[in-house]
Order: sequence, then structure tokens, then C-alpha cells
Amino acid sequence: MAPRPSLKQRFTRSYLHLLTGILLLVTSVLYLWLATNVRVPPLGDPIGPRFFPLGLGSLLLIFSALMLGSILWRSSEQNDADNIPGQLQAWAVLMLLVGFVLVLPKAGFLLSSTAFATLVLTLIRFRSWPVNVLTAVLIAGSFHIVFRVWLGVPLPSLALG
Amino acid sequence: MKRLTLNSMALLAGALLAAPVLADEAPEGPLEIVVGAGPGGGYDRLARAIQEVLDTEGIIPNTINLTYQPGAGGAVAWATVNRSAGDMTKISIFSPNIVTGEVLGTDTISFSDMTMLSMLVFEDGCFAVNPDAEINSAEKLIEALQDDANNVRFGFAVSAGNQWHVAMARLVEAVGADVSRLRSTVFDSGGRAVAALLGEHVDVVATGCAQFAQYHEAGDLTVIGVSAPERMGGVLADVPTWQEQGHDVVWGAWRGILAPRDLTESQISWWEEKLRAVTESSAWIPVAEENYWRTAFLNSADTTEMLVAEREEYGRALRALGLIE
Amino acid sequence: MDVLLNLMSGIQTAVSGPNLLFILLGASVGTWVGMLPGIGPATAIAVLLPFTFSLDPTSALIMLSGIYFGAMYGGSIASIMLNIPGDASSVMSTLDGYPMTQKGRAGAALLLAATASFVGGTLGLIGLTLIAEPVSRLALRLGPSEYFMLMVFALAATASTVQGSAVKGFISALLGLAIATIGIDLQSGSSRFTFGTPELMDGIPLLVAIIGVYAVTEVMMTVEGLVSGRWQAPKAIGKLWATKAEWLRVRFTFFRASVIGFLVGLMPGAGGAVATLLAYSTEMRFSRRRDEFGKGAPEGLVAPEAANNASVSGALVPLLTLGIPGSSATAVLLGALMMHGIQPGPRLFVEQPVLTWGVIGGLYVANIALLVLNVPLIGLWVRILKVPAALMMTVILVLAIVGSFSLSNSMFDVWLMLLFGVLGYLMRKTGVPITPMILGLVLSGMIEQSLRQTLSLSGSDWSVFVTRPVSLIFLLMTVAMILLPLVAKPRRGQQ
Repeated sequence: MAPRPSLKQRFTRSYLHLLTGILLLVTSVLYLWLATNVRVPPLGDPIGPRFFPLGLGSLLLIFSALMLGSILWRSSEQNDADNIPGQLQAWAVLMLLVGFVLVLPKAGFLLSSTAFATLVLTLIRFRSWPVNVLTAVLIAGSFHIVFRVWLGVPLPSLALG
Repeated sequence: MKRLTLNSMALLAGALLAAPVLADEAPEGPLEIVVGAGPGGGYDRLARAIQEVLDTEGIIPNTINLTYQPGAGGAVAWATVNRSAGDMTKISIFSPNIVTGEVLGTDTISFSDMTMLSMLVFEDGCFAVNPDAEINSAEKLIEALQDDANNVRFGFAVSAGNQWHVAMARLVEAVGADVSRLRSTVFDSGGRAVAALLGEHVDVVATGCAQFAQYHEAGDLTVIGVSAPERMGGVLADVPTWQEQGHDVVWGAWRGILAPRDLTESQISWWEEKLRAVTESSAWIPVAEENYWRTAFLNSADTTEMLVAEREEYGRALRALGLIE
Repeated sequence: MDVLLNLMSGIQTAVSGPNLLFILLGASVGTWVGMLPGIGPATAIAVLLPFTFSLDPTSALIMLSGIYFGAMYGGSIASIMLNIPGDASSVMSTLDGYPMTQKGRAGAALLLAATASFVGGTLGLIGLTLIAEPVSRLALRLGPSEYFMLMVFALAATASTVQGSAVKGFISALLGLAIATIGIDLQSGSSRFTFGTPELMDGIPLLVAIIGVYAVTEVMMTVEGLVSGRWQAPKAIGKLWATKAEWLRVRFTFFRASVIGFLVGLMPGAGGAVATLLAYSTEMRFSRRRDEFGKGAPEGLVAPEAANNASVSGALVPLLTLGIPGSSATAVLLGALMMHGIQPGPRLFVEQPVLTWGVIGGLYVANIALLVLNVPLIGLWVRILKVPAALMMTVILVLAIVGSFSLSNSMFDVWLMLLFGVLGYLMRKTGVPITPMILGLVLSGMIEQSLRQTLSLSGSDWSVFVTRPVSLIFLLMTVAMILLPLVAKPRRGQQ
């Protein structure tokens, strides 16, 4: 066995596991608490609308606690930090998506999807600006034709289209 | 595109308001019916009927587009429409959901916040039993209810406290039994409720008459009563109303048209006139018959008045059912 | 042999004149649309429905049947090639389909899937033709108590097929079950966990969740792998044809899975997801190569594919003979039929035999057309893998946004989809399996509602679960499913 890692090392090594474990625990506590607030009508079916969520919430709480426990216990087996640059890029793509969705209703589909595609292409694999922009325009254009024109999906739009 | 039209509409409305208005204000450009459910549902069939009649009869020159925004029994679509205040080009179809959602506290939007343009059709309620089951006639059902409502397993769709739930509650009350004892079960679609009745998992189902017509004709189910003021036509003509059988139960679903808030008087009367023309046209009659719709046009003011009364009545009925305090 | 004569004339209607063209058109458009993330057969039919309004009812419905089967195969292609299922019923196909692709067996996987779909669909249709009426009456005898036990059984079956840690499998299933309780409760009208948001009243849309946890998560995982250089494009060029050994392994799977799929399809509401789940876990239980499941076992792909298509034919039985739609896709189909002035139900075969048999004939032809159309195209589909990763990822992301928006034209769904993408990424990174969560989402409503329906119909009497024979059988099977692994020698050494 390697020497016992310090707390900081343990945290960085299993930051995703810890984050997920804690999120799950918090979620199940929150879920249980919200379940006790569900309005039960004075009459109605025998077990009512609270029974099932309470049961699920309790089980979820137990299993989340078990999982968090094993995450802390076996922290040496986890290795979340082996590819931080890759993970940063994955989160960056997600942030671009969030930006896209924020801008979409304001800028319309054609404009925002072209910008989004350009940025994602640049982030994942930079070729050259002209190539990326051209590819992005092609992607946005074909989506526009297939979905808006052929399938009639009412995507958010501007006067430009 | 949408935003620009909206703004220009608002400008146009403002300009027209300033000028003395002689004729009703007609909308320009395409009109949109926002359908509060997916294609093929009850809302969609009415929307298509209106679209078709407006078009074939040449009642208006504008093109009419249908968009679908399913959710919360229509409430999501209504909220969307209502966001375009003063825009007369967007309408949606409402059902008793617009009242029950408010009474049950599940909807955040009230009909009094929007413009109710008109009432269009009634969908009357039919009560059916399984001919092979123990309870296979109106007499047996009422006997069982009067003995103890807890003997009767009642199935309906699609949400607790809706029109069919209340229709059944009124029957139980009318025969002098205790509503709170009724064994009610909600199914997630009318089809599932009918399936449960065919499989004898429930004793009686209440729902729109159109759903039962075929089964009644084929003899798979027996429709024993209609909660309407008069009998249905077609294959259901032999079924007596509850009133004929001595029980004062008239309750059903209705559908009408709503528009966003802040419409002007003249915008409202333009729509009233066109919608009335739809229900009075010759193309409308076969469509209504096919769908078991009873045409009942009401103007904007009368519609709002009716909804206020319905809200009152639903509140009372849902309290009796124990769904609200 | 009235039935055969009717069927013959039905097939004749289906291949006469322009109808054959409509089938082919429907099948190819359906395949393309079905490949898009989040667009399963139900959405495909709903989206393409308006295009059929200008056709006469027979042609329209025949085209819709082509779209239906086409969209199902399209979903399989996306599941196998990209690990992105179109809807709940193609989720199980990713479990072994995608590993086959990673091993360079994409061509074989597509061929097996096409064949399984064809066999399942055709066997199901034969079932529909021969025993439609009596069987659908029988299926009606199954009430809420039987449904409850069947769903519990299906969930127990999933738990037994999950790879890896049992705790994580349970967490995943529980998460799905819990997420599905958001929305208005059917029985009482109480709103649960909605925070007064109208968009949440109907609950979390299943397809939004599927797009998020599969498409967005898959892209994030790939991007991460691209940076470290660990991610490698699957070898596109393997042998396109499946090997003799692979055919031999799956020869009985075709039939077992088709029977299971058809029977589950007969039960209104059980749907394709349950059919694929049961077929997969049955296959795994009977297999001597149990440890190969989840790593590219051909049986693990053939079983859900055959079961899924057979369940569609099964679901058509209550739809056509009783007017009761059994799944979301058949519900949309019911809407489509009514739009064309046809009311399915007990009178349908009597009143409109030409049309009805035309549709059934159309389904037979659509099944064959798909096989004929798609087998030569396998070489083309495999080329999807040659698309540069950066381009593919970008397209998938835009598709995910457009797909989630178009479900009900709402930006709210798009945000939800992103949230599920993050959830899926965290789950993948921490080894929590995703499949149980999706199946929990699918089954939750039915489990809870059928339990409560049973109890209110029985007047709070729990004994109905053991006094009704079919429900008792499912109960015993569930118990066996849970106990067997405990009694038998442990399957895996670890943990």
C-alpha cells in the first residue's frame, strides 16, 4: 500500500465522486422533506399521494448514505483527477451549450447556432477560422432546412430567419 | 419574426384605438391556434374543425396555423397565449380544466386573467356498465349506490376532480347516497378506463359520449344514462337521459375559445362574429355530429359569466368529494 | 380461411399503385427522423402526421405504418452506432449494441438488428392476424393488480441485469422513480414537487431526460476522451456481415424475444420498454455466457430488437380491435386514425375491412421493405463512424437542443435537458449505471398508480395481490428473481 494520502490529495483525487455523493444525499433529504409537504386531500384513495414518494425518499437516503460512505472509505480507489484538462473541456462544452440556450430566444436559431457551432468546433479541434465558420454555417443551414422548412418545427427566430 | 409582428400589432392596436373605430378591428396576417395537447387529441380535433370551416366557408381571409403546446391539460398553452397581451391573432381552446385547475389550486392562471371569446360546444357525459357484470343496468347501479356507495367501483379519466368525476358525484348525490363512500379510480386515458370496464375491473365509467358509441353499438358495453338535457343522436338515441329516469344530473364538458388579456371591445366582437359564423355554417353540422358535439355558442360576456358559475359549482362539488377543504 | 383472403387483399392494396411508394417513402423518412436523438416512433408519427393529411386514408395510414417501423429502426441505428437511443424502447439496444460497435462489429450489429426487427415484427403481425380478437379480450382480464406485479417484476429483472455495484444500481433506479413523481398526482390531483411551475405539472418528459443523459453526456465523455487521446474512433471497417457463430448464437433468441414482446405488447400500457427489458433479462438468465452481456453479446442486441418490434404488433391488437392504445406511439396512431375519420374499436373490422386489412397488409410490406431498404444501406450507416468526431459532436449537440425544444415548443424543456446532461455526466464518471434510471422513469407512474388503483378498487384490501392468480404468478417470479442470485453461487468475485 502506498502511504496514506493527505486530505487535500484525497479530495482532489475523488472530487467528482464526493460531489455526486453529497449531491445525492442532499437531494434525497430535500426530496423527503418536500414529500412530507405534499398536500393529501381529506378523502381519496387508501394510501394517498404521499406514501410512494416517502418510501422512495427513505430508500434513496439510505442508499445515498451507503454510497457516500463507500466513497470516503475507498477514496484511494477513485481517480477523478487523472484527466483534468479533458474534464475542463467537457465542462466548457456544457458552458457553451448554456450560452447557446440563453442566447437562442433572443438571437434566433440561425445566428445562435452558427456561433455555437463555430465555438464548439474551435474548442474541440481548431483547424482554421474560415473552415470552422464555414462548417458551422453549413450545420446551422442544414438544420434550418430540415427542421424549420421540412418538418415545420417552430424554432425561435428573428426577422433574418 | 414573432417579436416584430407582436410589436407592430401593438402599435397598430394603439393607432386604431386613437382613431374613431367604426367597423370591428380585423387582424392582419396569419392567425394561430395554440393547441394545448398533442396532435390527434380532443383539443386538436376542435382546432382542426374550426380551421377547416373558417377556410372552406371563406369566413375570414387570413390563413390559420396550428401549433402544439401540450402540458397541464392546456394550461401551458393558455399561459403562452396570454403572454401576448392585446394580440388578437393568437387563440387557444379551453375546457373545464380552466376552472378545475384554479379550484384545485394546480393552475397558476385564472380565466379572469385572460379574454374568454366564446363558448362553442358541449361534450355530454355518458355512463356505461358492462352487460356481463353484476351491475348491468341503471336500476342495478342506483340500487347498489343507495345500498352503500362503497359497493360501486367507479372509473374515469383523466384527472381527479374533472367533469366526469363531478358528473358521477352528482348522480350519487341525486340518488341520495354518500359521495364520500364512492370507490373512485382515475385512469390516465379514456381508453384505459374503458379497458378496465371491459375487463370488469370497475363497475361504471363516465366519459364523453363519443368514446362509448361504438362499444354500445357492438353490445360490448351498455350506456345506461346521459347527463345531458336531451338524448344523444345516432347509435345512442335509445339511451335515456338521467332526467328522464328521474335523477336531476346534467353535467358535462364544454369547450370554448380564449385569447390573450387586454383585447379591445372591437377585437372581441370581431372574433365573436366569426366564431358564431363557424357554428352556424353548413359545413359545421356534420363535423359536430361525428364528434358528438352539441353546439352551444355563447358570446364573450356570457361565457365569462358561465365560467364564474361553473367555478362556484365545481368548488362545491370538489368539497363534497373531499378533494379540497 | 377468411383471414388469409382478407390479408391477401390487404397486401394487394398495400402494394398497388402509389401505396408501395408511400411505404418506401415512409420507411426511409422514418428511419432518418428516428435516428435523431429523442425522436422515437411516437414523435416521428406526430411530426410527420400533417404530411399525410393530403393523402386518402388508406395511403396515409400505410405511409404512417412505414414511418412507424422506419423510426424504430432509425432509433436502433443511433443506439448501436452512437449510444444515443431515440426513446425508451431502444434504450436496451445500447447495452450490447454500442459495445459491438466499439469492437468493430457495427456492420454485424446493424444486420442483426435489422433481421431481429424483421423477425419480431413479422411474427408479431402473424400473431395479430390470427389471434387478434380472442387474445385482446383475454388481455383485458388483467387489471391494476396484475399490472402492478408485472412492473415490479420488470424492475426486479433490471436490478438483476445491472452490471457493477448493486448500491449504485438501486440509486439509479430510485432516482428515476423519484424524478417521475414530479407533477400532478393522477388519483388525488395534488401537485407534487412542482413549485407552482406549470411546465412541471405534467411531470418530467421522458424524452427530454433521454436526450440529456444520452446525447449531452455522450458528447461530454467523448470530448474529455479526445483531449487525453484516450478516445479512439470505433473501427468502422470490420467485416460487415455477421459471422456464422454469431448467427448460431442468436437463432433461438429471435423467437423467444418475439413471443415475449408480442405478449407484453398485448397488455395496454405496458409498452415497448417493458418488452425489451423482459426479453433482455430472460435472455441473460438462460445464457451460458452471462458475463458477456453488456460487453457486446449479440443475444443482448437481438433480444430487445425483436421484442420491441413484436410488441408493436402486440399493441396494435387492442388498438384495432378495442380502440385502446397501449403505448405512446399507438396513442398517436389512434389520433392519426381518427384524424382520417376512422374510429378503431369493436366495429372497425366489420365496418371498414378494406382499410383495416390494407393497414395490416401495409405493415407486412413495411417490414419487408425495411429489411430490403436497410441491409444494402448498412455500409452507408457504418460510415457515420468516419465522420470526424468534432463535427459529429457539434451536430449531436445542436440536435439535442432542437429535439428537446420541438417536443412541446418550450425552452423550459431545453434547460431540463441540459440538467439531465450534467446528471448523466456525473453518473457516468462515478460508475452509476444510467439504464435503471431511465427504466425507473418509465415505470414509476404505472407502478404507483396501479398500486393505488388496486387498493381503491379493492377497498384497501392488500390480499388481492395473492388471491388473483396471474398477479400471484408474477409475485412468485419476482421473489424467485431476487432470491435466485442469493442461493446460487456468487456471479462475480469482486465487492
